[in-house]
Amino acid sequence: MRFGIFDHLDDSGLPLNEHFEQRLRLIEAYDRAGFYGYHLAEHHNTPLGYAPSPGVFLAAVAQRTEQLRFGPMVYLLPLYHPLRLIDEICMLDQMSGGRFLYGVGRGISPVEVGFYGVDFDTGAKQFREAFEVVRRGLTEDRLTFHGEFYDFDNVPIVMKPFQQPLPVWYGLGNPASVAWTAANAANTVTRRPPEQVRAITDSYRAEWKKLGRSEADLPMLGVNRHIIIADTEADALATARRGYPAWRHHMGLLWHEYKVPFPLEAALPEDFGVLQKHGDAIAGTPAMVRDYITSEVEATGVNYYVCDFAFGTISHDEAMRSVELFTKEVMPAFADA
Amino acid sequence: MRFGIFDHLDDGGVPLGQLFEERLELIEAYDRAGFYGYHLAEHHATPLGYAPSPGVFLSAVAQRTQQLRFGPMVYLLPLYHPLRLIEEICMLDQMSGGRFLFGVGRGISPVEVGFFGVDFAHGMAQYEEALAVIRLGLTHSELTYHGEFYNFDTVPIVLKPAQLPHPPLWYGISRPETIPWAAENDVNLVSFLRPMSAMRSLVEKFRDEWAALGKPPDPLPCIGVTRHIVVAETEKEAHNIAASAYRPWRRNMAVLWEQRGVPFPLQGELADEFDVLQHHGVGFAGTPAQARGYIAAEAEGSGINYFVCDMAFGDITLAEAKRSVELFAQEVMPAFAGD
Repeated sequence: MRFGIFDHLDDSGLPLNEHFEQRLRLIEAYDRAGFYGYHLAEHHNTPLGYAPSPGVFLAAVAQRTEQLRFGPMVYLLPLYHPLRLIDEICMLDQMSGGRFLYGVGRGISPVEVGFYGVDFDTGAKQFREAFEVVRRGLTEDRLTFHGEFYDFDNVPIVMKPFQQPLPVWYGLGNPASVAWTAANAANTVTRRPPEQVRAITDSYRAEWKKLGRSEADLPMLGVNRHIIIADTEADALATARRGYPAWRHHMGLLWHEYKVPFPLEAALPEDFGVLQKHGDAIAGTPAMVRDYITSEVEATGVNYYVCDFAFGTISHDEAMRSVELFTKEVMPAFADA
Repeated sequence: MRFGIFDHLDDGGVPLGQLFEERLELIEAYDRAGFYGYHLAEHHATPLGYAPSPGVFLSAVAQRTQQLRFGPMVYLLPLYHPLRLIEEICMLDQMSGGRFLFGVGRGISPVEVGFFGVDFAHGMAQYEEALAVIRLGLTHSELTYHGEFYNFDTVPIVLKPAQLPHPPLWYGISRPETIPWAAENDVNLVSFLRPMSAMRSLVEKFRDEWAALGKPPDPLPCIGVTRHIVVAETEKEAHNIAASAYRPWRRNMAVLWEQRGVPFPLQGELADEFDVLQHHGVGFAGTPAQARGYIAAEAEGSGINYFVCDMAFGDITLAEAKRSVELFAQEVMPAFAGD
């Protein structure tokens, strides 16, 4: 079992420069702890995401870490000029000795993509086109493409990524997208309740088999959960309940302001205790977290477990303590799994 | 006199990962040496520039340096979505404790901007609008703008730069017509390889405009010129290094223009060989003592207050460039400390 990190880098109440620096120190701890990948969200014009240009923050991550792979979860492809994205991906992958994880998506918020002038209704179509343009740009020396959204004629491509091929990552929430992800050998992360995750991993494995690919080559199928660990259950739960509401508020903020129904309104309760009761998060002792993850893995069929340790007003020290306990007392139990 | 660095990060004949890592090591040396600013070019689809997204490379620079200011020279504004650039500038400025230098321009190559779908003929108008949008975004918590190229309606802006009201503006100047705008907006200026005599008239015009606006003579924005500089223990060694490293850089300067059959605007001006460049006074290879004399004469002759060195170009090696920087820091910069 591999472990990863998901991060919104949402507003923590700290001045921005301190927030960035403390987060980079936390990421150094992820690196030392042996996490596989650090996945950074892209959001715009909202306190939910203070790394709206994830590539800029990830370039700093590359400098501060040795082993940790990293990438956007996900690049909102329609919001980029494909040529710039090809350039940026090559730079990040080369500057990190091939540790870049290429996460792609179309953006789930019509409000955010709307700020960029992208029509949400055609976003999925534009995403497919952008993905194909970037794929060609990353593998060919000349880029030619004629589509509905993009037109390129014989543009010289002078940089290549370090990894060939580059691993693709996708935030998989919609079962209808499973076929596309499997066909593109995309690694996936989902943040759904356990039974929905199970449906997705089962369907992914079935698609994979149908494509005639071997079980050994199965991409990483991950689930993402908020995790707070402390020496006592009471401490952990108190920390989580205090830190969570700010993050929850950021999640719904732009939707509410622009009067667009927030699709996760029901799935995300206001209180961390309720979220935990639904099975979508854990705050507890290391032993409780071990048991929780064991049963989650069993129930969901994932082979990648993605933790969100720093959200809302969780302090740097609290997140560091979670990571320390997770590393010492949780990860070793899954070393062979 | 302040000293700066200009860098194309052009093809160095080594694998890309090595080029990036070696350049970062060199930039650490710039930082230790006390250079004021590191200015990184933005070029696209050409071996002339392997930092086509300069913000990504500059984010690494911020991590590797302590004092050095840094920025694009220049962001090609029409090639960015203004919202993304507002966000990126805030991130870079905050992540560096306010060391970001906001270089702006429209792009001088119709070929490169053409790849991005930007019409060169409209580039100037689009650049001006983009700059207006970005300055609004950097200084307001809500962005509203209606123009020919950009339209925004009460977009919430949640990030702020560390330097207020916004990071200092920098511009690569080639036409004297831009000077009134630069003086009015406190814009720092760098001219690329302009001969001393031509530089003098730019500097004088800038100082005149500045005074005419009733602005105090001190502090004046930085007004500087770039020069290729190679320093070594002996003149011969410096010349050999410069002559051979210059050729691939010179080739990369023109390569896209030639491939696309567009006349290269610097064709007559930019010498084919380093010796000729040096003869024209716009490049220098020699000993530290010679460098001191050269820079003193350049400063005296042009009136600049910022001298921008290009110390890593073409296939110059890391060891050669580091030696240049060491000698420059030890034996050249101190001579200008009081100026």
